[in-house]
Amino acid sequence: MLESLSSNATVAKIRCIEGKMLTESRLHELIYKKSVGEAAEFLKGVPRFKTDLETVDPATIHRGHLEELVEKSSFELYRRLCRFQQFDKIPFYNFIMFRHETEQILSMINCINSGVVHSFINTLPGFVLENSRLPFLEISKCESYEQLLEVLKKTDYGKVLKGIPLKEDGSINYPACELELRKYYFNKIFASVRRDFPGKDAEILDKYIRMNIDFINIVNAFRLKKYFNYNAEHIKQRMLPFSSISKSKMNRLYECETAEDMLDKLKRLPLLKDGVSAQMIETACDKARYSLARRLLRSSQSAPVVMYAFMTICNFETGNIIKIIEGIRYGLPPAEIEKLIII
Amino acid sequence: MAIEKMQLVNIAGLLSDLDKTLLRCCESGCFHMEQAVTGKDSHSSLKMLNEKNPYTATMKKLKALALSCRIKLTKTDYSDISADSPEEFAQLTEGLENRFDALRNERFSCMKEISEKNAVIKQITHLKGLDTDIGRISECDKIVVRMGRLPVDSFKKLEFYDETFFFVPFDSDKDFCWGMYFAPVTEKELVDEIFNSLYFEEYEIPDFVKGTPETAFEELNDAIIRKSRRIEEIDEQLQSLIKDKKDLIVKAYSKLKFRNDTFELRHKVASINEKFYMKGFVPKNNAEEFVKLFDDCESVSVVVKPPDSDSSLVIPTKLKNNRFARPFAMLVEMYGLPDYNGINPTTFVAITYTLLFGIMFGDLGQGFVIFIAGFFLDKFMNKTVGGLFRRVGFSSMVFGFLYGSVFGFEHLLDPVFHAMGFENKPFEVFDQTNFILIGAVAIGVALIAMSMIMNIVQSFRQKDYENAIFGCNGIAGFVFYTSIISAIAFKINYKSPAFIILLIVIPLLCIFCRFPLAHAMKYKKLQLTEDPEEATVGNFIVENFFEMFEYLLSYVSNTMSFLRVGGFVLSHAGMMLVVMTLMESVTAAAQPLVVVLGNAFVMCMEGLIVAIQIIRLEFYEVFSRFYSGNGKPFEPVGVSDSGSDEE
Repeated sequence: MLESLSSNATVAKIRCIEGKMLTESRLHELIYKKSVGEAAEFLKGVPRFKTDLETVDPATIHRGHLEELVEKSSFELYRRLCRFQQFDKIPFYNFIMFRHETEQILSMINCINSGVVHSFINTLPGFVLENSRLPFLEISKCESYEQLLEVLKKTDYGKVLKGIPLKEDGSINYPACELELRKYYFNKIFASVRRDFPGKDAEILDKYIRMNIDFINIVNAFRLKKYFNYNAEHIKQRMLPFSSISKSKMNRLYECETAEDMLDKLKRLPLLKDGVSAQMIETACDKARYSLARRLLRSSQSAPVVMYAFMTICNFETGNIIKIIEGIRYGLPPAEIEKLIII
Repeated sequence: MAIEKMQLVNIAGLLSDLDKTLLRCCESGCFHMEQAVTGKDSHSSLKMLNEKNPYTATMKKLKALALSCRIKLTKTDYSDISADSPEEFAQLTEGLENRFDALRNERFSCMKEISEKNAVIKQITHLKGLDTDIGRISECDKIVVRMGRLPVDSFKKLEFYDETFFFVPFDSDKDFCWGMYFAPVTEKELVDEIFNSLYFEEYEIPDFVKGTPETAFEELNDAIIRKSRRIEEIDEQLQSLIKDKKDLIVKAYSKLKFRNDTFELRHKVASINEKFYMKGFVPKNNAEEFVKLFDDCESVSVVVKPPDSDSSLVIPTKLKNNRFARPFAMLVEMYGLPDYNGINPTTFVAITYTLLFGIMFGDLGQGFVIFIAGFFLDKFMNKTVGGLFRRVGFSSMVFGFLYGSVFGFEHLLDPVFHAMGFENKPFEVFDQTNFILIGAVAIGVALIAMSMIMNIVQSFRQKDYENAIFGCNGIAGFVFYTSIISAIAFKINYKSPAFIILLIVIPLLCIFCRFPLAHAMKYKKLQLTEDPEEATVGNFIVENFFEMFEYLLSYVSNTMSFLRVGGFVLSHAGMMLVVMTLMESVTAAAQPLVVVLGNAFVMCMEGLIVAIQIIRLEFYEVFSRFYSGNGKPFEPVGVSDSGSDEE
């Protein structure tokens, strides 16, 4: 009990920070900025980004750099929160770095498949390069899958990827790599949850992470059905084998004849009680994930649950800002940008 | 205890007159609009108007402009704004935007220039030891030189590249690394592209920067001063432009918002063959006046009907309160409005709240302060809260006089009482503890009994006989509760068979069998529960036994809950006693300070707690017996506040 009480300080701190995040009206204010420079100036005035964007010059800032700084700011915030009560010594709290590592390896695989390996280093965030134990500079020099496996061979990621053969045309089987890496990521997270936390915290966190996976599976299943007309067996093979919903219920979803049937079933899921449409399924799932995270952040007293929920919210905030900056840069009308943001 | 009577109004007319009609509905301030086509009418040929609002985009632009000028948008009179159509508003907004943009763009380019020059100065600062003409660096034929800054994160990535270039860092802070890179002219494009992708911000040394770094430094500084002065001028021009256009922006926005919100109402209007149809509710008192508004519109016909003539609509509730009760409507609305056919409990709440506050927080001096604070709140902040303060403050003064308490001084009023012929003050709190506690319970009994009566009246009105006759808050419950209380209070012989059978057993049996009895009364047929298929005698007995137990327990707990009224009388007197004791323990000079601080503390803390506790008593012990709060509020169509984000 004392342990759970001692983490209350982190919970309180997170709630306090959450209260200072960009509100809907502030995001709308940002949407109406006319240049990346104006957006940078606006973000420099936001308390949460003030320190991280202090030295940025709005007149010369590059869009990509501004986006990277916003992402870095979230990461630094997460590191500060972990250090606050020495959570960085608990393996579970590395979930953000694990996620970034998984994303970057997948990005590298994509670059190899597309023959643009040199672009990987440009998109690699500096904070990942600095904080990850993986040799990303070496990874960025790989020109083939074999070289990538060689660099990763001493890591768990190497072991996961080793068993995935190349496709007949010689390219890397990206969907299989993605599925296996994500399976490995979530297995590792679930194992940490069971190991690092007492009963009830583990139970809530486990369920919450499974609900997040449900949203990923739902979006993927719907896309496979709508755009590729996959049958139930093929869809099941592509899904992450974790869920908060019963297996039979998920199977019934995958077994739908058409995308419309699937959509009908999705509308009845409590997870998507706020409604969903075929065109906006991703947005609807994101909005549901966002509101779920906010609800948990406000109702839970468990530090790992609140931290996981908070990082999800941060991720959405960063995503919103990036979408707005890109919208401004490419001259999208404010009304169109508004449709893209998750609030 | 009344609820405003409503009338259903159907309005039909030619689509060309729709805008005019909606404007009049908004201006009337008494039209509650409903969806013209409901589920029931979905098969009809009436179609809802779902046009895109042509005012919204311009309104957002104007709001953004006001926001960037830090102009507060408030609702204001816009009669002198000539723009009316969406196009006219768009033109007006564009004109305003252009004037501001011209100045802002110039300001931005000045800032950009200053920023570039500052950056060059920073570069040059690092070259101050160089005793050569800077221009010569860029005049090299075989190599390209670029000066600028590189993000620290990108600096680490340079290790990845094995191309023929090298980067010389001058200086670095936590985010950027300053320096210059050199590359052969033949590989200029490739190297530039690499640095571009690493977010290298180049600072070109302008052509005029010639000579040694020292001389260049001075020239750049002069240029920066000139540009800074220009920025100051532009800021002044911007400020005067804002001052000039502020009124126009606020008025134009006010009108635009009115047009926009009025247009939004079209989404509730249905149309058929160039005609529109809309419906809504109007208070009966205003109906005649409302119809007259359309007298000059020949194509528009307004038909007034009884409120319940459209069964698909829920009639909205508008409370009708007297002057004394009006501020207390806020508390009732907090719980929820009554149904249109229900009872308006505001007057009841007003009387009981005022009395209870006075009893629990009786102090002539403190009550006076609250009373005066009410006037200030009324004038400067919120009229409703101000009114509430005045009423409870006055009640506190009356009871404070009875308790003889003025800012905690319990004997200050003694001479007044002596002059009135009393030997002592009428009420000594600490000497009459039992009386206070019993009195508190008696108040509770009276309030509970009154709420039961209200439940009975309301249930009969709604023809809910189960609740009215057999319910725990119906006649059966009332007879049982008041009999027990009377037996205790007036020492009636409760052991007599007549008392037991008539006033205890029969009411309890009625409550126990309330559903079958009510069902038999209504349908002349015996049925144990609502779902006849699942009803067994065993189930019925077990279920009702526990419910009955809960009712009996709630009679006791709800009555005892009112003990807190007495508790707070004692607590208030106790807290003031502490203040007085503290005062006596300090020096004479500090005594006034202790009295002021002590009174302020008690007023803020205890006043707040008492206010909350009474709300709790009203909501839990009283409202739960007769009040559902499921009513739909009467919301006349109009325009929301200009500054709000509702759009």
